[in-house]
Amino acid sequence: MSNPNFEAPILITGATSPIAAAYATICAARGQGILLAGRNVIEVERVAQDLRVRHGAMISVVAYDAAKPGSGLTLAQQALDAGVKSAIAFHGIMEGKNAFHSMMQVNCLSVAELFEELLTLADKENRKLVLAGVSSVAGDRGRQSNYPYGATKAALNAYLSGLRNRTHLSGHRVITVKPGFVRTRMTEGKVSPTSPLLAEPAKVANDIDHAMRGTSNVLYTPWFWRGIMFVIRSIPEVIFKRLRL
Amino acid sequence: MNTAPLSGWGRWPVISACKVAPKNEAEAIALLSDGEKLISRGLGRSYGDPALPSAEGGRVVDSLAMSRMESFDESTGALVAEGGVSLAEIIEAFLPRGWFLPTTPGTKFVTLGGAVAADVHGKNHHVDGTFGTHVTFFDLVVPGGQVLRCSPEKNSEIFAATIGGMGLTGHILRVGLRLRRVPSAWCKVRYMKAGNLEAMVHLLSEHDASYRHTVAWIDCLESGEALGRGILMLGNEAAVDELPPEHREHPHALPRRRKLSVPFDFPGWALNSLTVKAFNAIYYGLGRDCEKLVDFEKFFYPLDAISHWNRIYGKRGFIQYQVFFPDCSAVQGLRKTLDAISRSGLSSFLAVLKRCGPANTFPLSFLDTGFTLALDMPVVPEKLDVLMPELERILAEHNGRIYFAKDACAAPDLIPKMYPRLDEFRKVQRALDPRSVLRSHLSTRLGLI
Ligand SMILES: Cc1cc2nc3c(=O)[nH]c(=O)nc-3n(C[C@H](O)[C@H](O)[C@H](O)COP(=O)(O)OP(=O)(O)OC[C@H]3O[C@@H](n4cnc5c(N)ncnc54)[C@H](O)[C@@H]3O)c2cc1C
Ligand SMILES: NC(=O)c1ccc[n+]([C@@H]2O[C@H](COP(=O)([O-])OP(=O)(O)OC[C@H]3O[C@@H](n4cnc5c(N)ncnc54)[C@H](OP(=O)(O)O)[C@@H]3O)[C@@H](O)[C@H]2O)c1
Repeated sequence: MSNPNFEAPILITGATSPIAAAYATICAARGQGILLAGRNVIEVERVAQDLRVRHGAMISVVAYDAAKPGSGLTLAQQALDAGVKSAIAFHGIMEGKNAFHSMMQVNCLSVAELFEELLTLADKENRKLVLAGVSSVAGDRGRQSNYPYGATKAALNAYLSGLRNRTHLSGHRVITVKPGFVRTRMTEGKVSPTSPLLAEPAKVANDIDHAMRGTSNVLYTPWFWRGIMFVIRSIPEVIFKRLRL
Repeated sequence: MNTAPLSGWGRWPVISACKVAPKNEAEAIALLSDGEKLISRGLGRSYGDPALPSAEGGRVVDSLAMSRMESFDESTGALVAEGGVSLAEIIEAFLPRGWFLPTTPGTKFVTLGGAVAADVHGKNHHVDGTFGTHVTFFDLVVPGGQVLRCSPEKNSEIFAATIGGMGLTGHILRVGLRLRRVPSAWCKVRYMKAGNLEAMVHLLSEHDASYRHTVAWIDCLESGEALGRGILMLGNEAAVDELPPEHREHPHALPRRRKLSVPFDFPGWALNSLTVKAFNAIYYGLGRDCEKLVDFEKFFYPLDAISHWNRIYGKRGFIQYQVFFPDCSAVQGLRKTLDAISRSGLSSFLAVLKRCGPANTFPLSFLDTGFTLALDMPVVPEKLDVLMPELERILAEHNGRIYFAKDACAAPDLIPKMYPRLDEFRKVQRALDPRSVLRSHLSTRLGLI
């Protein structure tokens, strides 16, 4: 483990997501301390206890509701107090256009609030952070089947890219994670369970770990989504608007 | 609801099933409350049909979405974990800290729920008994949605009926299991040759007392004088000072190996030629007797090194036939069984023979003092139709019984004779499940309830 950021504890939000739990497992297995945040504290505590039993890891649990503006401010303070030098936001929801506001709040605004506050506090004590936002390939181009969700992830992409640009010279790192289809409740009933495009949470978590400790800026996981999304982005709008996607 | 074809590890029979995977206790309770038929399923390592629905399109309750570990007591080895946790996960978490399973089947890819439901046994049965005897308690969701804590003290009849009860008393949510301290992750293994069945049975009985783990490979292609010739493996856990110096610092670390996989269906003939070679290499390479240090992975789970090895039998699938004979009729029973199988032309090359210790108190638990033999056979229906009735006659004559966790084609008639405590089990089962919700393909085929 060469990267000193990953010797200090990490903040992981949306801990009840299978991808987050798989990523937390990787951190716990290497002995990294974890601050697990989520809104359903009882379930998050179960995830934490599982990691403690398996890995003897140091895990604390904090309540965090991303739907409530302001909750990121408290969480950032708790994280800095816990000594974190890295954070990854897994929380997110996928709903229809009637829930556009709440989706925008949970998928984008809450992440921005949390990351801004983390950086403000870290800069005061000259601490350098690695921050990752879990976005989605759905943010690369809006499609009729779930463009409200896609739009919130597109906003998150633009935010993360801007943040990366702003903080680059001050020594922080910002990573945009774009998973394709992952076997979680988000894809249940929407993607065939036998689809070759459906990735296992553990595989995605492993890719995220490499990206976090390496040098990537934007991670597509599994890797082939970079190609798929390149093609999808390249289709001229005159054609794209006629497609059923 | 989506249905998809489902089978056990032998890939036969195939039944369409609708899999539902509860993610928490409330979802599991809801599933068992709606009155529709279902059967639990773990990692599907039972060979035939115990983890398949009783009819096409029926439901199976997949336990794998509930696989959290809940607590571990470093001073006593008491582990509490959800039913979907696999033995592989337990080894990964605790062997490095010096703890191992109290007993283990020949694959680590089984769940706690499946290990309890089949009351599985390992190479140390004659010393440590079955898996169920090391279970301190479990929580069971029963039809209607009640959650019962069962232990030798509390709900003790349900506790006993569930261990070996093949999922027919309810869905196991969490299990308390006592792990055992081991000095290292290595076994000192002694290999011996036996020229025929009598010699093998004699050797197994003679060495029982001095070895914790014993098992034999039998060459099924031999007949006549050499029927039952094979290799006996006798193991004890190695102390740290018995390890090679390079392993003494981390005696519980397992060597890292690359996993092989069988990527597609093999033609059926491929398997025999492979195992024949492996066996002969050992058999003829072996002097009279030799001793080796073998790590746990290789000793307990030789087949786990190749994932999907069940594809090696090709698309038609295979069955595993496992029988038990009590001491008094074992030699006769084993001889006739091996002979019948070899005459049928279905015999796989290798069979596994093991001497077992006394029975426990669970009514449907499989083993007792005597011998158990297990072997694979390809599914060739014309031949099985002739062979199976013959094997059942042999069983009946010699007080034998079959193992539910491996069975795919036994007939119902003999089951009450094989399992004399079946009625005791049925009484508990019916009281828990008056509306006949819990049913598997196996339970229906064998008329277990
Ligand atoms: C290579 C190999 C070697 C083996 N060696 C041995 C051996 O040496 N000794 C031995 O005893 N067995 C052995 N087995 C058989 C295996 O240990 C058992 O069949 C075991 O029950 C499989 O567990 P599973 O999790 O795969 O359960 P499944 O096969 O999915 O289910 C088996 C039974 O358990 C029930 N069940 C599963 N989960 C639950 C739950 N949560 N609650 C209630 N019921 C449940 C099912 O209804 C079913 O009746 C071997 C199997 C293989 C493939
Ligand atoms: N699955 C995919 O195919 C896929 C693809 C691309 C991107 N992603 C992204 O990956 C991330 C993880 O999703 P998933 O697929 O693992 O789905 P998931 O299981 O539904 O996980 C979503 C997580 O977000 C949490 N969450 C939701 N609303 C919250 C709130 N208001 N406050 C705090 N936490 C909240 C959930 O907590 P609760 O358990 O309390 O609900 C849960 O932990 C999401 O950002 C998602 O957009 C998923």
